[in-house]
Amino acid sequence: MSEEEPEKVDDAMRALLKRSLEEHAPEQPVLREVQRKIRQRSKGKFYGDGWSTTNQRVSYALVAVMMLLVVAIAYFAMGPMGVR
Amino acid sequence: MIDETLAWRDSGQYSVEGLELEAKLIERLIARDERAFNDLVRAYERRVFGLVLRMLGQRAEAEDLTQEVFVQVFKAIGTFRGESKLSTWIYRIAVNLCKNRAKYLRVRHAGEQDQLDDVAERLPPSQARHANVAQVDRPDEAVAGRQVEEIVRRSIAEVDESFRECLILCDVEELPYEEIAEITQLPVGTVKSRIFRGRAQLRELVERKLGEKIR
Repeated sequence: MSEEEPEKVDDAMRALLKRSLEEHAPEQPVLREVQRKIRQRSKGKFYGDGWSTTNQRVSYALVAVMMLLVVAIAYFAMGPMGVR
Repeated sequence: MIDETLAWRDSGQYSVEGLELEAKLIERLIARDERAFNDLVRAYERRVFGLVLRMLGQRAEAEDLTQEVFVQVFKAIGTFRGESKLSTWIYRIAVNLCKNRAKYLRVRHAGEQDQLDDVAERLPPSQARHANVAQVDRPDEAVAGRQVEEIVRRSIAEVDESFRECLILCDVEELPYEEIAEITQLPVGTVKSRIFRGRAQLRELVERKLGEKIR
Protein backbone atom coordinates (compact mmCIF):
# COMPACT_ATOMS: atom_id res chain seq x y z
CA MET A 1 0.00 0.00 0.00
CA SER A 2 1.45 3.40 -0.95
CA GLU A 3 1.62 6.36 1.46
CA GLU A 4 -1.32 8.09 -0.21
CA GLU A 5 -3.64 5.12 0.14
CA PRO A 6 -4.52 5.43 3.86
CA GLU A 7 -5.55 9.03 3.21
CA LYS A 8 -7.68 7.95 0.24
CA VAL A 9 -9.35 5.28 2.36
CA ASP A 10 -10.00 7.87 5.09
CA ASP A 11 -11.60 10.18 2.53
CA ALA A 12 -13.73 7.35 1.16
CA MET A 13 -14.83 6.38 4.67
CA ARG A 14 -15.63 10.00 5.53
CA ALA A 15 -17.76 10.40 2.38
CA LEU A 16 -19.51 7.10 2.99
CA LEU A 17 -20.22 7.97 6.62
CA LYS A 18 -21.60 11.38 5.72
CA ARG A 19 -23.82 9.93 3.02
CA SER A 20 -25.05 7.13 5.28
CA LEU A 21 -25.97 9.50 8.09
CA GLU A 22 -27.74 12.05 5.93
CA GLU A 23 -29.85 14.67 7.65
CA HIS A 24 -33.47 14.00 8.50
CA ALA A 25 -36.07 16.40 9.79
CA PRO A 26 -37.94 15.58 12.99
CA GLU A 27 -41.48 14.31 12.39
CA GLN A 28 -42.98 15.79 15.55
CA PRO A 29 -43.20 19.57 15.88
CA VAL A 30 -40.25 20.23 18.19
CA LEU A 31 -41.21 23.74 19.30
CA ARG A 32 -44.75 22.84 20.38
CA GLU A 33 -43.55 19.86 22.39
CA VAL A 34 -40.74 21.89 23.99
CA GLN A 35 -43.22 24.62 24.95
CA ARG A 36 -45.57 22.00 26.40
CA LYS A 37 -42.80 20.42 28.48
CA ILE A 38 -41.56 23.78 29.77
CA ARG A 39 -45.13 24.84 30.62
CA GLN A 40 -45.73 21.57 32.50
CA ARG A 41 -42.44 21.58 34.39
CA SER A 42 -42.64 25.27 35.31
CA LYS A 43 -46.26 24.74 36.43
CA GLY A 44 -47.45 27.34 33.95
CA LYS A 45 -44.88 30.02 34.76
CA PHE A 46 -43.51 29.91 31.24
CA TYR A 47 -45.50 29.47 28.04
CA GLY A 48 -48.62 29.73 30.14
CA ASP A 49 -50.53 32.01 27.76
CA GLY A 50 -51.48 31.93 24.12
CA TRP A 51 -49.20 34.82 23.24
CA SER A 52 -45.92 33.06 23.64
CA THR A 53 -46.98 29.81 22.02
CA THR A 54 -48.33 31.19 18.76
CA ASN A 55 -46.24 32.02 15.75
CA GLN A 56 -47.90 35.39 15.32
CA ARG A 57 -45.75 38.47 15.48
CA VAL A 58 -48.50 40.82 16.72
CA SER A 59 -47.16 42.71 19.71
CA TYR A 60 -48.96 43.53 22.94
CA ALA A 61 -48.60 47.26 22.17
CA LEU A 62 -50.25 46.98 18.78
CA VAL A 63 -53.23 45.07 20.18
CA ALA A 64 -53.52 47.58 23.05
CA VAL A 65 -53.62 50.52 20.59
CA MET A 66 -56.23 48.74 18.46
CA MET A 67 -58.41 48.06 21.51
CA LEU A 68 -58.18 51.72 22.54
CA LEU A 69 -59.28 52.71 19.06
CA VAL A 70 -62.25 50.34 19.19
CA VAL A 71 -63.27 51.68 22.62
CA ALA A 72 -62.92 55.28 21.41
CA ILE A 73 -65.04 54.61 18.31
CA ALA A 74 -67.66 52.84 20.42
CA TYR A 75 -67.67 55.74 22.90
CA PHE A 76 -68.20 58.34 20.21
CA ALA A 77 -70.76 56.20 18.42
CA MET A 78 -72.85 55.82 21.58
CA GLY A 79 -72.00 59.18 23.19
CA PRO A 80 -72.59 62.83 22.19
CA MET A 81 -71.79 62.21 18.50
CA GLY A 82 -73.70 58.95 18.44
CA VAL A 83 -76.20 57.84 15.83
CA ARG A 84 -79.80 58.33 17.09
CA MET B 1 -32.06 38.70 14.55
CA ILE B 2 -31.34 35.05 15.12
CA ASP B 3 -31.13 34.45 11.37
CA GLU B 4 -28.39 37.06 11.17
CA THR B 5 -26.63 35.44 14.12
CA LEU B 6 -26.79 32.05 12.42
CA ALA B 7 -25.63 33.45 9.10
CA TRP B 8 -22.65 34.94 10.88
CA ARG B 9 -21.88 31.71 12.67
CA ASP B 10 -22.20 29.64 9.49
CA SER B 11 -19.90 31.97 7.60
CA GLY B 12 -17.24 31.16 10.20
CA GLN B 13 -16.35 34.84 10.55
CA TYR B 14 -15.91 36.00 14.10
CA SER B 15 -16.80 39.63 13.52
CA VAL B 16 -17.56 42.15 16.25
CA GLU B 17 -21.03 42.56 14.74
CA GLY B 18 -21.65 38.82 14.92
CA LEU B 19 -20.53 38.67 18.52
CA GLU B 20 -22.81 41.58 19.38
CA LEU B 21 -25.77 39.88 17.69
CA GLU B 22 -25.18 36.69 19.63
CA ALA B 23 -24.71 38.63 22.87
CA LYS B 24 -28.06 40.40 22.34
CA LEU B 25 -29.79 37.10 21.66
CA ILE B 26 -28.26 35.59 24.81
CA GLU B 27 -29.40 38.60 26.84
CA ARG B 28 -32.95 38.07 25.63
CA LEU B 29 -32.74 34.37 26.38
CA ILE B 30 -31.42 34.98 29.90
CA ALA B 31 -34.27 37.47 30.43
CA ARG B 32 -36.58 34.52 29.63
CA ASP B 33 -37.89 36.12 26.46
CA GLU B 34 -40.11 33.31 25.23
CA ARG B 35 -40.18 34.65 21.68
CA ALA B 36 -36.40 34.68 21.51
CA PHE B 37 -36.43 31.11 22.73
CA ASN B 38 -39.00 30.15 20.07
CA ASP B 39 -36.66 31.58 17.44
CA LEU B 40 -33.74 29.68 18.93
CA VAL B 41 -35.62 26.36 18.80
CA ARG B 42 -36.70 26.96 15.20
CA ALA B 43 -33.16 27.87 14.19
CA TYR B 44 -31.43 24.92 15.84
CA GLU B 45 -34.00 22.12 15.82
CA ARG B 46 -32.78 20.45 12.62
CA ARG B 47 -29.11 20.62 13.60
CA VAL B 48 -29.73 19.28 17.08
CA PHE B 49 -32.06 16.55 15.83
CA GLY B 50 -29.53 15.56 13.16
CA LEU B 51 -26.75 15.25 15.71
CA VAL B 52 -28.89 13.36 18.24
CA LEU B 53 -30.25 10.97 15.60
CA ARG B 54 -26.73 10.22 14.40
CA MET B 55 -25.53 9.61 17.94
CA LEU B 56 -28.47 7.44 19.03
CA GLY B 57 -29.55 5.90 15.73
CA GLN B 58 -33.21 5.71 16.83
CA ARG B 59 -35.71 8.21 15.50
CA ALA B 60 -38.26 8.12 18.32
CA GLU B 61 -35.57 8.45 20.98
CA ALA B 62 -33.90 11.21 18.97
CA GLU B 63 -37.15 13.19 18.70
CA ASP B 64 -37.74 12.97 22.44
CA LEU B 65 -34.15 13.81 23.29
CA THR B 66 -34.12 16.81 20.93
CA GLN B 67 -37.01 18.24 22.93
CA GLU B 68 -35.12 17.53 26.17
CA VAL B 69 -32.06 19.36 24.84
CA PHE B 70 -34.09 22.54 24.35
CA VAL B 71 -35.79 22.18 27.73
CA GLN B 72 -32.31 21.94 29.28
CA VAL B 73 -31.14 24.95 27.26
CA PHE B 74 -34.12 26.93 28.56
CA LYS B 75 -33.43 25.85 32.15
CA ALA B 76 -29.68 26.42 32.05
CA ILE B 77 -29.34 29.51 29.87
CA GLY B 78 -28.72 31.59 32.99
CA THR B 79 -25.51 29.64 33.61
CA PHE B 80 -24.15 30.29 30.11
CA ARG B 81 -20.98 32.34 30.61
CA GLY B 82 -20.32 33.16 26.97
CA GLU B 83 -16.92 31.46 27.07
CA SER B 84 -17.86 29.51 23.95
CA LYS B 85 -20.24 30.07 21.06
CA LEU B 86 -23.90 29.51 21.86
CA SER B 87 -24.05 26.71 19.28
CA THR B 88 -21.08 24.97 20.94
CA TRP B 89 -22.83 25.17 24.30
CA ILE B 90 -26.05 23.74 22.84
CA TYR B 91 -24.10 20.93 21.16
CA ARG B 92 -22.39 20.18 24.48
CA ILE B 93 -25.77 19.78 26.18
CA ALA B 94 -26.93 17.55 23.32
CA VAL B 95 -23.83 15.34 23.47
CA ASN B 96 -24.07 14.95 27.26
CA LEU B 97 -27.76 14.06 27.11
CA CYS B 98 -27.03 11.59 24.30
CA LYS B 99 -24.42 9.86 26.46
CA ASN B 100 -26.87 9.53 29.35
CA ARG B 101 -29.68 8.32 27.10
CA ALA B 102 -27.39 5.81 25.34
CA LYS B 103 -26.34 4.42 28.72
CA TYR B 104 -29.99 4.12 29.75
CA LEU B 105 -30.92 2.42 26.48
CA ARG B 106 -28.01 0.00 26.79
CA VAL B 107 -29.23 -1.11 30.20
CA ARG B 108 -32.84 -1.32 29.03
CA HIS B 109 -32.01 -3.33 25.93
CA ALA B 110 -29.29 -5.48 27.47
CA GLY B 111 -29.69 -9.04 26.29
CA GLU B 112 -32.14 -8.17 23.55
CA GLN B 113 -31.39 -9.81 20.27
CA ASP B 114 -30.51 -7.69 17.29
CA GLN B 115 -33.63 -7.77 15.14
CA LEU B 116 -32.07 -6.49 11.96
CA ASP B 117 -31.21 -8.96 9.24
CA ASP B 118 -27.61 -9.42 8.33
CA VAL B 119 -27.56 -7.24 5.29
CA ALA B 120 -24.16 -8.41 4.20
CA GLU B 121 -25.48 -11.92 3.58
CA ARG B 122 -27.70 -10.65 0.81
CA LEU B 123 -25.08 -8.45 -0.72
CA PRO B 124 -22.28 -9.28 -3.14
CA PRO B 125 -19.46 -7.18 -1.59
CA SER B 126 -17.81 -6.01 -4.78
CA GLN B 127 -21.13 -4.83 -6.16
CA ALA B 128 -21.97 -2.98 -2.98
CA ARG B 129 -18.62 -1.25 -2.71
CA HIS B 130 -18.71 -0.30 -6.37
CA ALA B 131 -22.21 1.10 -6.01
CA ASN B 132 -21.05 3.57 -3.40
CA VAL B 133 -17.90 4.89 -4.96
CA ALA B 134 -19.21 5.16 -8.49
CA GLN B 135 -22.09 7.01 -10.08
CA VAL B 136 -25.22 4.98 -9.40
CA ASP B 137 -27.40 4.78 -12.46
CA ARG B 138 -28.77 1.27 -12.21
CA PRO B 139 -31.56 0.34 -9.78
CA ASP B 140 -29.72 -2.78 -8.57
CA GLU B 141 -26.64 -0.68 -7.83
CA ALA B 142 -28.78 1.89 -6.03
CA VAL B 143 -30.20 -0.87 -3.83
CA ALA B 144 -26.69 -2.15 -3.18
CA GLY B 145 -25.61 1.39 -2.31
CA ARG B 146 -28.42 1.71 0.20
CA GLN B 147 -27.42 -1.62 1.70
CA VAL B 148 -23.86 -0.41 2.16
CA GLU B 149 -25.18 2.72 3.82
CA GLU B 150 -27.24 0.52 6.14
CA ILE B 151 -24.07 -1.42 6.96
CA VAL B 152 -22.30 1.85 7.78
CA ARG B 153 -25.23 2.97 9.98
CA ARG B 154 -25.12 -0.31 11.87
CA SER B 155 -21.36 -0.21 12.12
CA ILE B 156 -21.21 3.33 13.50
CA ALA B 157 -23.58 2.22 16.26
CA GLU B 158 -21.01 -0.43 17.22
CA VAL B 159 -18.06 1.97 17.33
CA ASP B 160 -16.87 2.75 20.85
CA GLU B 161 -19.07 5.56 22.17
CA SER B 162 -16.23 7.93 23.05
CA PHE B 163 -14.78 7.56 19.52
CA ARG B 164 -18.19 7.78 17.88
CA GLU B 165 -19.11 11.19 19.27
CA CYS B 166 -15.82 12.72 18.07
CA LEU B 167 -16.08 10.99 14.70
CA ILE B 168 -19.63 12.21 14.07
CA LEU B 169 -18.83 15.77 15.17
CA CYS B 170 -15.81 15.81 12.86
CA ASP B 171 -16.75 13.81 9.76
CA VAL B 172 -20.51 14.39 9.63
CA GLU B 173 -21.08 17.71 11.40
CA GLU B 174 -17.77 18.98 9.97
CA LEU B 175 -16.81 20.91 13.11
CA PRO B 176 -13.20 21.99 13.66
CA TYR B 177 -11.08 20.08 16.22
CA GLU B 178 -11.09 23.06 18.62
CA GLU B 179 -14.88 23.22 18.72
CA ILE B 180 -15.16 19.45 19.19
CA ALA B 181 -12.72 19.80 22.09
CA GLU B 182 -14.99 22.46 23.65
CA ILE B 183 -18.11 20.36 23.15
CA THR B 184 -16.63 17.16 24.54
CA GLN B 185 -14.45 19.01 27.08
CA LEU B 186 -11.40 17.04 25.98
CA PRO B 187 -7.94 18.23 24.95
CA VAL B 188 -7.53 18.76 21.19
CA GLY B 189 -4.91 15.99 21.03
CA THR B 190 -7.32 13.49 22.58
CA VAL B 191 -10.03 14.55 20.11
CA LYS B 192 -7.70 13.94 17.16
CA SER B 193 -6.64 10.58 18.51
CA ARG B 194 -10.26 9.51 19.10
CA ILE B 195 -11.24 10.54 15.57
CA PHE B 196 -8.33 8.54 14.14
CA ARG B 197 -9.14 5.48 16.23
CA GLY B 198 -12.86 5.84 15.54
CA ARG B 199 -12.26 5.89 11.79
CA ALA B 200 -10.06 2.81 12.04
CA GLN B 201 -12.65 0.97 14.12
CA LEU B 202 -15.48 1.94 11.74
CA ARG B 203 -13.48 0.86 8.71
CA GLU B 204 -12.72 -2.49 10.31
CA LEU B 205 -16.38 -3.06 11.19
CA VAL B 206 -17.60 -2.10 7.71
CA GLU B 207 -14.95 -4.23 6.00
CA ARG B 208 -15.83 -7.20 8.19
CA LYS B 209 -19.52 -6.86 7.29
CA LEU B 210 -18.79 -6.29 3.61
CA GLY B 211 -16.29 -9.12 3.53
CA GLU B 212 -13.66 -7.11 1.70
CA LYS B 213 -11.29 -4.17 2.04
CA ILE B 214 -12.34 -0.62 1.32
CA ARG B 215 -10.08 1.00 -1.27
